[in-house]
Amino acid sequence: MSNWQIKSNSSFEAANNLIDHKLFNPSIHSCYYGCVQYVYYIFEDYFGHDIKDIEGGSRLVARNLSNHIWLRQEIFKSLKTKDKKAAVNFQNIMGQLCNKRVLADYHYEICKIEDANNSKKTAQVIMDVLRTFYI
Amino acid sequence: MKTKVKEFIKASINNIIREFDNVSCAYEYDLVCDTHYIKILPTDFFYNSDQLAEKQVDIIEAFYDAYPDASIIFLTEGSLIKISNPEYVVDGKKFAVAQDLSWNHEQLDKLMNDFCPDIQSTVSFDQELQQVQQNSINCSFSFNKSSDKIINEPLTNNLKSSPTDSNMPIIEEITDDQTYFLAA
Repeated sequence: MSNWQIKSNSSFEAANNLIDHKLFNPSIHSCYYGCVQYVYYIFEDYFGHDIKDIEGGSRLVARNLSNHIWLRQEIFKSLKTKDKKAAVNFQNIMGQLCNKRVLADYHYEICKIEDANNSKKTAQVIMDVLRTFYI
Repeated sequence: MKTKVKEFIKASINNIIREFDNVSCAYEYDLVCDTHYIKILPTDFFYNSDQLAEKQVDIIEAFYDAYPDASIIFLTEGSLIKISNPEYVVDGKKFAVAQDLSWNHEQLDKLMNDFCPDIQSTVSFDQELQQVQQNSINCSFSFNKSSDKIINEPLTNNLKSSPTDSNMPIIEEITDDQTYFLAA
């Protein structure tokens, strides 16, 4: 098993434990990074990129491009050649989970159990899409 | 830069509405997450329409080509992210009609639920009935099955007349829709 997969699994396990302990804000953070780490695994295993390619990838496109948006764009481009509905679904819900994580970490508002559970469900849908098309 | 992106988004929304007149689009820019959100309703159509998915692919591709360091996300009711203060909202024609009909039904239900007849009338029901019987009814509404049109014609008999009189329009079975219309 790839280290990215191990990290991804650990993040989801952490998310579950955090929800169990009513630590909802960091659970959303863990759900999101569990998905990002799995995307890293796909880049490594499916596309054959190493970590330097991944970290430098966004800068090749635009100086101000966030690395996470670039990862999302690349998966979107790849998915749309396989299934357009899955491509837009991934792009939209990964983007939403990304922003929910920003709000959970940096926004003044405290996230509730519904936010945590909805984020977990969203992460599960993202993982389903990725596992379906990148085996 | 942001102005140009917003113009792009608004043009895209207009484009969606031209192609899908059964949807509503709302745009909001989130400064904290630096993201452009487009909310599309109805939710079922958002999740199930292949054509709308293809349209989204086209818009997302064009958006990333033009603004590679910006972020665009489509969402709907019940999505993880909510929008609360859209700056641009456009309803397709069919969406607006559906909303209007839905509103009318809601209002009608409310009216029916709130309807409270004056049961404390000083005139008893028997007295009212007697009064009605004394004054022959001038007209009546009924349905003519052959034409499905409402007929408004004078009745020659008062309430004592049998409804089966040959010169009286026969009241056909009234469907729920017709009853609804009469109640309205």
